[in-house]
Amino acid sequence: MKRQPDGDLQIAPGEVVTVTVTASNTHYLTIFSDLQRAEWTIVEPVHQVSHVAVQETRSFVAGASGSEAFALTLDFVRNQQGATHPQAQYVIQVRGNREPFTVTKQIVPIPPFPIGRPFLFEVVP
Amino acid sequence: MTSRTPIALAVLTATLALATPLQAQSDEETRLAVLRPTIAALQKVRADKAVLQKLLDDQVLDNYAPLVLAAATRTQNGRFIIEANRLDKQVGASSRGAGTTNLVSSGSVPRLLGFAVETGAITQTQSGTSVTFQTNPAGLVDALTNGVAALNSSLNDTASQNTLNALRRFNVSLTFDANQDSDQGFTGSYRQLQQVSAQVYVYNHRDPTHPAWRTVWDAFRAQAGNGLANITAALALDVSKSPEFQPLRSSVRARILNATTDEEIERALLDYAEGFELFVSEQVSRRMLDEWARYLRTQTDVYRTLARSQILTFEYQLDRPPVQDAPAEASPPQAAADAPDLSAFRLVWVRPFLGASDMTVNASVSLFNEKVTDMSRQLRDWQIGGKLDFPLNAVFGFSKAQFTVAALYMRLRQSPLGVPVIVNGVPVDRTGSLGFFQARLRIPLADSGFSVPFSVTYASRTELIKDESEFRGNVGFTLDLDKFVGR
Repeated sequence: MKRQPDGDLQIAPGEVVTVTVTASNTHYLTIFSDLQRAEWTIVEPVHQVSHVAVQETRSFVAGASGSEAFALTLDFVRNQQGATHPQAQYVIQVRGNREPFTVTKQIVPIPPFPIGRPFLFEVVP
Repeated sequence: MTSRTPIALAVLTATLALATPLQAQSDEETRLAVLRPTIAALQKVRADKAVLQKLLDDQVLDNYAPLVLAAATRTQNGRFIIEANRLDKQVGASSRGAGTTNLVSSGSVPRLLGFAVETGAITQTQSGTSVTFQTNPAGLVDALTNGVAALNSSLNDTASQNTLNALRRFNVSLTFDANQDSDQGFTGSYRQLQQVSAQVYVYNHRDPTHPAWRTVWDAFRAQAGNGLANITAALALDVSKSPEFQPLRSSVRARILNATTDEEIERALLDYAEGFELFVSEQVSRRMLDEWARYLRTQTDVYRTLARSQILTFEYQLDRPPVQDAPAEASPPQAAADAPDLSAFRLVWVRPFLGASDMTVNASVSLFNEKVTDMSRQLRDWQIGGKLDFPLNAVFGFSKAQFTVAALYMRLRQSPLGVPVIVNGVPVDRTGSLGFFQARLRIPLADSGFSVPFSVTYASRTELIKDESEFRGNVGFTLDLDKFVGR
């Protein structure tokens, strides 16, 4: 996987793309969209990785050509006063199995919720 | 509750006519309300270009939903999404208990003491000559975490989390009477100390962020489905196909990164929202708002359920009767009528009842801190009370009506002396048993702040009239000024 000049991600046919979402200081409220062409495989279901962090990992196999896309919605649970934890965040990591390149996105609680984060890929042989 | 004449209805109608326009906001204001948190976040990190760039690239420029919402603030779904996100309100304002009777303490600190929840570690309020300092569990925790965050440290370790969780359980308030030290005003001296109140949540899982609710939020994710995520992906694909979108995005990105004033950031983001409208079809916009509103409605139900989970509170309250200066030859000062300090211990249990109703039960004991002349024992009184709150939606076409039934049994063993016993707003002086029952229907008139209460009250005796049972019915109206102030 590598980044194209327009910002989209370029992947090779058959490349395995792995997406890891880590939520810190909030209940895990990430929802994955369906993929345009491929199917998700759950590598690791939602599980606790530390006292304050929860993680989920999924992957998909790129098709032969064309584009692929998915989006995440990420939400933050608010307390009785309507405030989120000051250190609440999500970290999204997307990586392929052909190149060492990894995309990392950090999502912090800025209303309105939930926050949407799309990822677009171009499958290039 | 007091009766009012029907003339009040005319005043009510006139005031409602004046109050309604307060809700009106221009399109520009509502658009800005949607984007304001994002603008504020960008402005906050404007000086640090690396952080600003990361925030833009990781989150802001590709989070299209607020841009869609900004163009649809007048739609029904748009208004709901704005309200559900509290974008039209200041975060941190407390929710007030509506339509409850004062007969039974509900065990909620803000409701009990009538304070707005503020975000400081300690809040100070003043009423007349009384000054109250109150620790606020949520504010205390926020202040601590913010303070530590500012030092680039972390409170994420288990020990720190345990400490913070313990702090959340406690609440303490001190009230001083500034009149107690003649001309010196408020000094904070022991003599001015009027009341000490301490509260501990024996059981309280009402905080939606509590770890106990993990399974509830997991269930919510499954229930919410991925409709919103799907339309978000579809929208991103649509937008990416338009050759004009990337230039707009790049231009806005550059303007924000190069901004030298907060106003430039605000203008750039507003332009982004305005330009984005051209790339979104009405159909996609409507579908996104539908899915978003559906998601938030499901979530709102979860928040409501958690907000009504049971809570058990233990409270201790020390009341100090006013100290009167004795004649010049006597020293030290003597308490009024030899009234000793009074300690009250109270257990309050609140839990959901039938449907959307809540049940509150409390039991309390009051003791004088010392025996004075002619006092056979220190026990002053004990009480047990209960209350049921039934929200009645759309009764007679009015929203958020509430029916409350409350009962209290009290045994007053001693004369109250310095600290009065108040039942339904009436001081009780005579010893013996007292039974009290009240049913109240409170009908708010839209969101005007006006409400019309109807009540039926039974008391085993009425101190102010004669020693016999009495039924009394009342109708009147009340005005909640917070509804105006809080707009």
